[in-house]
Amino acid sequence: MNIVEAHDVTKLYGDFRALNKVSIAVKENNILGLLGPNGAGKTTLIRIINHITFPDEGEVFFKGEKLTQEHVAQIGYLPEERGLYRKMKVGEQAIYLAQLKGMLRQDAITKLKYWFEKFEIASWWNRKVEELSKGMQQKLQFIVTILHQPKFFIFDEPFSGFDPINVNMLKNEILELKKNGASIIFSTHNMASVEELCDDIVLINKSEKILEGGLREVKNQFKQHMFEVVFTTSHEVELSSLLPEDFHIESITDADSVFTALIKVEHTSANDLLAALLPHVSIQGFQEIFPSMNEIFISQVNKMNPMNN
Amino acid sequence: MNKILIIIKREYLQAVKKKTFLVMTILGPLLMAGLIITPTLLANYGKDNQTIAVLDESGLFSKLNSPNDKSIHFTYVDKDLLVLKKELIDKKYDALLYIPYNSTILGGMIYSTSSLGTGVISSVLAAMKRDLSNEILLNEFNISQDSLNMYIENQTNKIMLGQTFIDKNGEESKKASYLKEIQLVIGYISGILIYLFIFMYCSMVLRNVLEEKTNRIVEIIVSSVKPIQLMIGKIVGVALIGLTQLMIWIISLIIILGIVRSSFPEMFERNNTSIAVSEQMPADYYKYIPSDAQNGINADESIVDNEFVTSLMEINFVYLIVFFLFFFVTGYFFYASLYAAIGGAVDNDTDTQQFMLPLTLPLLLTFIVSQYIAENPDGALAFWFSIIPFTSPIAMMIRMPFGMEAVQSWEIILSCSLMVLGCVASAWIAAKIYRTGILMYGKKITYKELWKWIRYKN
Repeated sequence: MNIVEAHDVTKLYGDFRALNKVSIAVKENNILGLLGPNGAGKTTLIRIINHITFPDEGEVFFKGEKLTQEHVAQIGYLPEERGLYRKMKVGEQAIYLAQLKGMLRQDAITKLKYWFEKFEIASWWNRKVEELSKGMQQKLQFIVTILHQPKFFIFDEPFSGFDPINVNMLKNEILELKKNGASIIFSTHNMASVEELCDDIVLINKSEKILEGGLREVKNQFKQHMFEVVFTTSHEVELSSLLPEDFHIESITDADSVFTALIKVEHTSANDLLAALLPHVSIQGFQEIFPSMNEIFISQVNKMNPMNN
Repeated sequence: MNKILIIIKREYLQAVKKKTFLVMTILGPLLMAGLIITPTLLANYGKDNQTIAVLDESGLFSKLNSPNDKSIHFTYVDKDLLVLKKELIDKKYDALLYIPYNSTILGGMIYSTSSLGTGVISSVLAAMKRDLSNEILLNEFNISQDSLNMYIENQTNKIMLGQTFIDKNGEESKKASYLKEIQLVIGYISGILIYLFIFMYCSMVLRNVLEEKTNRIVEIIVSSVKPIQLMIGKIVGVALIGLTQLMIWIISLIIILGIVRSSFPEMFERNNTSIAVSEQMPADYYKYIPSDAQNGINADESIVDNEFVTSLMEINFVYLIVFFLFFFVTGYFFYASLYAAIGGAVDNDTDTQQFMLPLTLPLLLTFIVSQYIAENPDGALAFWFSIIPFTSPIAMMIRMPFGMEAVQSWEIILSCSLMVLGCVASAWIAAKIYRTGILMYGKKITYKELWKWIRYKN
């Protein structure tokens, strides 16, 4: 079942088409990576799903029902442009934001105490927000986002402003949320974290969806039939002369007589490559190289924008 | 609804806990006092030189010298009383002293269109006594100095002085003198209050909206509540802050007045000199004053009564308070919505300037023309200023104290309806601009851009 579905959503700002017939679906208990260059329309789509702005065409469904303001309480949204009241005390502010989500004051306090302990910011409860470091403010915002225990989250660039230790902690929290059954839209420019966290991805460019699917599926779709072979050899060999024409050696590096070769396989299979190599070298490692999300992102976006080539 | 309450609560508590709130609560009344006292002082300063026309038919005071009080000048006229009254209405003189010919009673009547400054009556009386005693001393009497003094005292004490007010239609009465001043003061005070309130608290709305935007917290909040709820919450919250401040001022004013009253009771007593003058006036004195003003005058009623109180009684305060509250609240909401829209549209303080001007100008303009409105509360200027929602809260409050003759019921209904419509329109426009603006960063906002936002469907 899909938690959230957007059907052919179009959003116009005057003459500017911020989204053009974009459809996405967030599967239950999945993390969907929402990717795209700046200005592609990600934030507009996120805001529409959050019932902050409204589509000119198309519809959004939440758990099968047409999205209304009532559903908003079931969403945990961490916006990219996020801040806090600087002059307000940390605890007070967290309670306020929780109350706006519909939580009762006492309930909010109890849960906040738990999360403040867990995120090691408990001692800051009575301090003003302006005294907090950016990382601590980010933690506070994250806590407020998840505090009301929704089952659906939207994280827009959740890792910005965090040091690597905290990024790791946050990743674990996000995976923990998923383990507990949550569904998540995860929007970021950090492709490495997409590969770590996402089940599905959607790539938006210039207001249109240009790519979607499961992470592995997408990577499969763009694979270059590239294999990495690590081998040693007792005598000097000229690899290219040993292999038939179907195999194209992209690069070869030598580290203390352990060679690593990238070989592109055309028209045949990996087995043929192995068969061709086996008589000549002793293989230590062999694996297919899939393109990274980073490469896919760049190649797909650039394809649409010839100026960048 | 509940969420709006949460927003209002936060808005209110955050402001009330701040030091600036305390400072403004203390400075506010001083500022207000300055604004009110300065024009009053200026007005009194202008009253310094009062010319009183003297028509002496008795011949006794033909050489009556101007009082020692330098601010009063007597000018002798020899015209018919009716002509002089007409000239008085045309403001040729500030007052007219009429001393009729009469063999038994010595005295006169002071006519004026509005209240003379305090002490004018006693100054005139003192001048008359002085001149009479001088007149007596010019003659030679074969009596002792003591007897002479007694005679003089006896004679001068016989001098009677009455006071009559003439309105612009020539109607005469012995009261209603302070009415116009009171009407003016009430109008200005309510106008200033509304102006200050709009100016101070709408700026606060703008600042708070802008703060949320520059803090980047606004998107977190609008993910829980609708932008319109946030906007309403802020506007109402700030209104409550202002009302709290107002209440503190009113309560402290009452307390201070109470303390002053119990410490200096004499300040609140009637002007004894004036009363003394009037109480010596025998009933038959009025027979010799050829005037309609005699009608209904009882001798035992003091002529210079506590005019201030009498005039106050003529003002319909319930009616004024109701409309004051109406224009106070609607005027605030009308402007606060627009200020909130500006706060939502721009990115920083400096950008607010170009949009602030069209909002501050109408209010300032109303103040500039308020004098003309007050002088001519049923004129065209007053009418147009009181049906435009941008100016009507102040213009109407300046006109309303003049009563039904100045502002007719249909005008009040028209003004109030347009004000309510204005509030709805400004809230609608503001909501549109606000909703788009608060999520828009780094864009130079122009009026054209705002117009585009207003036309967005959702």
